[in-house]
Amino acid sequence: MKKILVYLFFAGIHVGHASAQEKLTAKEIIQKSDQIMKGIETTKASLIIKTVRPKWTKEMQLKTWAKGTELSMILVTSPVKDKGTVFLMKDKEVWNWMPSIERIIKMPPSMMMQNWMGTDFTNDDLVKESSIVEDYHQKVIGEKMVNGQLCYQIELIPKEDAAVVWGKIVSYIDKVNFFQLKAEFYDEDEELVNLMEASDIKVLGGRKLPSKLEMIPVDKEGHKTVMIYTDITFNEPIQAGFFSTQNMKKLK
Amino acid sequence: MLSSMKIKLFIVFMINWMAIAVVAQDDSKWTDKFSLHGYVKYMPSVSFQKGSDTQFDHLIHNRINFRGDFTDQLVLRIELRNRLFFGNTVSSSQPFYGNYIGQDNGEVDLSFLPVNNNNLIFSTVIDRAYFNYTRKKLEISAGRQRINWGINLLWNTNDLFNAYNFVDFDYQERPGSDALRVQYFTGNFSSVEAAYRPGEDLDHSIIAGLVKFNKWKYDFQLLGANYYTDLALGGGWAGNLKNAGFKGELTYFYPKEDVAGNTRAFLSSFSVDYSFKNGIYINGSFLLNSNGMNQVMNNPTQQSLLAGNLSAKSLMPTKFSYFGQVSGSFNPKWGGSMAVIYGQGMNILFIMPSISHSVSDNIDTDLTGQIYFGESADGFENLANAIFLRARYSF
Repeated sequence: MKKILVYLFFAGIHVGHASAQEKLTAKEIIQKSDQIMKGIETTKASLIIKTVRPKWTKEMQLKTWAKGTELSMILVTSPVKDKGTVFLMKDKEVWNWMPSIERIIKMPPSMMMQNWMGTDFTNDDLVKESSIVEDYHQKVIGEKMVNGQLCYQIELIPKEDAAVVWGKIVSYIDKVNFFQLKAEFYDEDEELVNLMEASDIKVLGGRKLPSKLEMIPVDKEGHKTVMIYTDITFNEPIQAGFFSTQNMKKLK
Repeated sequence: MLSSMKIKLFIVFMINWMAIAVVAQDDSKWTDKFSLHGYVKYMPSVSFQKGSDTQFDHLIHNRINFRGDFTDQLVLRIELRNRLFFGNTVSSSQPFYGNYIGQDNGEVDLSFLPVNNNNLIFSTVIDRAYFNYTRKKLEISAGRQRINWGINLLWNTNDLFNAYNFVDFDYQERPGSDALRVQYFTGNFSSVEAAYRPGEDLDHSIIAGLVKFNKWKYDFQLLGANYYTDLALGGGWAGNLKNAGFKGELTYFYPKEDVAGNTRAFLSSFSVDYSFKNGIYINGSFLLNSNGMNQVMNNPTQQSLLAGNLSAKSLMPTKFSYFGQVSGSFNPKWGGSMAVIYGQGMNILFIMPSISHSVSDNIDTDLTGQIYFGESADGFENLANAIFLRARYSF
């Protein structure tokens, strides 16, 4: 599940009210935020990705399915020229069905680091190969208000052997719901590269969660990518055979 | 003859009419079961070849993809291309050009030329017309369809049914094969299949079997076939070397009978691709064709180099061929690519640069160049060039 639906986004799902009085360590906060998704075996979602540039906006509509941390699938439903394009992920392997040429293409792993279909998200952001809990050292460095919510400010430094994209992440997790409301992504030289903001908290699939996620490249004026979840279903059984090369061609 | 023409004309008319009728329908009862997509393109081009006049040509091209889901198990797919050609090539190369465009290599002639004169060629070709029946892990397709067994981006020695000519960039869908295909999915990433493309006898038919499986994070496939007058054995893989993609296809063709002109051939292709963080994608490929030429031709032309008909058994005229491509999206609106093919020995070079721009969600444009070089008695020289501008509206 975390694979497809963006850790960044789901890092924030409601866990009930954790006692704010407890003194939590950075790792515990990240784990609480991360574990919100524990117990979720499958996810089905519809979303819109808007790529915003100074002079234009481009919109893409997707449906996604995920089971456990291993299997996920993305179907492009709009625009019409990309309709029917499917990505299937099994652990670190990625296949792409292109209906126009009627072929399944196996994608090179390096594709995961690249911006996804021209948006400001990398494939790794979308598919989440690296684990915030496992691959980083965490430290609480302060508290800050984000959108009127008091948040823990947590610094994440990648472990030496971790295969991650970022040099540092600063994450803002609200003290009540443990939603990650903001994250700053720094490169190896500690330059701020991307800013992520989560908002529009709604009840989707029976859970309270931020339905809107924005990724803003800092050095590009007027550029951003907005991801909006329009529908989510959790824990509806998905057969193992769903995530197959046979089914890729049939998804609707 | 006349009656079959009439029937064809009627079928074409009917499908084109259905296209209009289904688009006009905005009833969900229809749209659930039937879908209709496609595009309209306008492509003007200019080409200049050694020793001939500059040619200005125009192509208006409409593709219609119809899909009818009668039940969850039974799907009908009909796809056709309507093309209108006019310009210098039409006025100077008739009737050969019209006949070339109108030819249909399938068992059933589904190509139709309502207008074929010195000013205009109007061609309609149905390149997909098949039923697909699915029952759990079993899938049967019958009719004109694409059976795509290739793995590499460019050279597909395993693609027995639809060899791909990279130069023909305006036909990414590729022609279909009139065939029967039975697939059985033994797992999520594995299958066995058999495909039969009938001909008048075994020497004009393809009967082939393919096994696919996934192991050690690699996709593998093995095939065996009666490929026209040959027996073919082959296999391929798609995996990775560190973060780069690594793919290969090998096929060995062995003549069933010792006939002059039909020789054994071993074709193998390998490719490595990598995608950089900034969105730039690179692909490098190598092709060995044991039957290919390894020396300079006497009088090469563009046709003899790359533009001719090809098959899985002769993907390139040269023994050793190399391909390199760099492409990237600068942003979701602008993209560019540069592809180069080099044939060693014959010393032939093909360069295809391209830039593309997405005007809106449904309108795209691109500009593509094709540059041919070859070695002749006069030395290594430019043989032909062409520039294509395309505007496409998708629906």
